Amino acid sequence: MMTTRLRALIVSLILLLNLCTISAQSEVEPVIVVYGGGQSEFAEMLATLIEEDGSVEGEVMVVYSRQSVELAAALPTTKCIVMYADHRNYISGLWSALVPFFKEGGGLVGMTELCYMPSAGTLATEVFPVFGNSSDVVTSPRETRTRTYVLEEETEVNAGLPDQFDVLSMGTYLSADEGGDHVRVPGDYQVAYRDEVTGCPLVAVHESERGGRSVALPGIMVVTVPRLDVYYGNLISDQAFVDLFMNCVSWASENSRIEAVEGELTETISEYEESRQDMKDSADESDRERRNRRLMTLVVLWAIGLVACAVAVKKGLLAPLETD
Amino acid sequence: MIVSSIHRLVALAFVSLVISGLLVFTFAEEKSDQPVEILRNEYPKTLPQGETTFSFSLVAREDLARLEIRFASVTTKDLSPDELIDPDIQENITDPEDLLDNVMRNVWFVEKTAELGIEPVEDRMEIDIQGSDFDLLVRDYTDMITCHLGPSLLGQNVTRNVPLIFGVFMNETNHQYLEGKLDFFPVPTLNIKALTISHNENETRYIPDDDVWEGSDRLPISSAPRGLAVFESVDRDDTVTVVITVEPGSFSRATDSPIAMLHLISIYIDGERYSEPIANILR
Repeated sequence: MMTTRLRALIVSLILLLNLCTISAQSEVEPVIVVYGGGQSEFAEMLATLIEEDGSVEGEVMVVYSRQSVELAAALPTTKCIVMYADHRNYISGLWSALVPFFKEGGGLVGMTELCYMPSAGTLATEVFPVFGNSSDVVTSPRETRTRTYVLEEETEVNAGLPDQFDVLSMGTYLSADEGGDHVRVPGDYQVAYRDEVTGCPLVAVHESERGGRSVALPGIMVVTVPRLDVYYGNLISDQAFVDLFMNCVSWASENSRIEAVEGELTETISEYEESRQDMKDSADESDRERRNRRLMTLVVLWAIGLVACAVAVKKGLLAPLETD
Repeated sequence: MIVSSIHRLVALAFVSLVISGLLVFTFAEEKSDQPVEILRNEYPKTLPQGETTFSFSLVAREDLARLEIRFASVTTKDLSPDELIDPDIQENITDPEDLLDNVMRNVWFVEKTAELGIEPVEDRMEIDIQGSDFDLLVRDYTDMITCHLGPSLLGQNVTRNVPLIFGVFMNETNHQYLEGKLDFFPVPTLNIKALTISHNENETRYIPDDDVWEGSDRLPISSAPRGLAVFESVDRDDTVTVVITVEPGSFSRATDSPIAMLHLISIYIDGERYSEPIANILR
């Protein structure tokens, strides 16, 4: 009876241990990285929005430099990078890390300068396909500084949003001809919302062949000065923007990269350790074999030498003495 | 008579033992404990304006299943105060590790990767720059992230342009932050004019993409392995060589830096790193 109970206890303990191991291995916490491109306070506000909303699972982290964004692209658990920038200096060169990140399955949300070709390079064409080469900006605070978003195509980022709504903004980037009129650039992206006045895309969604997801928001132009109408603090308290922004982050976060990583990261790391150990073991084994072969050769050599010496000494030294 | 025979036998045995022992000990001495030997490590001490050549060559002293030579191009970076955790302590730090741990992005990356069980290969060595000794500390994530996780999990190209080597060199009067990546030169498609990787007589040659013509046996530099020369089934006495011809022209360096670039060359044998990297300093 005791034996049966003991066995049951041991089996339960083993099962519990296995469960703990499996659960520890599958605990890969995804990371959502937010970069403000010089407007760190805005980035922190956006990060708080994501955290408070809670619909996107993972740790939300604000990074403060271009180089950190590059590192985020190489961090296996990064599932989405959210970026705002109002000057090219904050994003120059980022294309070299982020275009491959998107192509290989990562998720990105890019605002303002990220959609402007002279600043963002290929990011503004291959990741955020706005092809921005011009801007439509209202500088006077006396004028109404909002953009009216008009539904263009039904996508997942439209969920729960009205067909038309206003979001405060100083302006937008767009692809335009020499006269400043919007020119639509054909491509395999979708325009979720269009600007009522210019007709240019205000929300463009795009997927890469390998499951990367991006959302371009070229019309989010805000400033750091609290007394102005287009202060980013005012934008954050606008529910239409909050809903739109969260839809964008949620959709971009469901990408193929994080699916692959969540499923395989711990396995891949342990495979790596195992393969390194196997290589080391096999190198040690071949080294042992080499030493053994050498030892055997030496023993045989020594035995032959011993016999040869004995014969040589007997015939060459002792035989003549015996004859004498 | 019997005594005399025994004496002879003992003498015979003794002389035989001594001679054969001497013979065996002569052969027993291993010529080299090193699986590889560096034949050549030539590089310009000062980076010239025009074309220049780097050459690195090894000979195998035993049969090797897999031999890798990894080149990392590391350059100095100027850091602004807002990139530091505590800018006020920066000038008073005396340990390279503390200096590296005061860089915000570096600490963040170290923490996040450590949570996943990813550890860097860390090296600490002394280097000489223009007659002054410096402590060099390098944290290198390329083995795990670029060479292993990258191809299988993150995709071939994700980590290609991301610096995954961080370091500092410092002495009592000067310190400099470093960043680099696994590559033959910082921007290979711009800087490299020719790259030749050879295993004995077998040679693979890469040249700038625009110079490749149809039917040529030269390959475009954009298809070259990034900083990685891999040789399989290397026999004893085989020679492997990497020759890089560069045009550093557009190469930029950080202000006030005593060096232009640090070339770190690591040798991997059967998946294991063989000794600490060779640090070639280019002023």
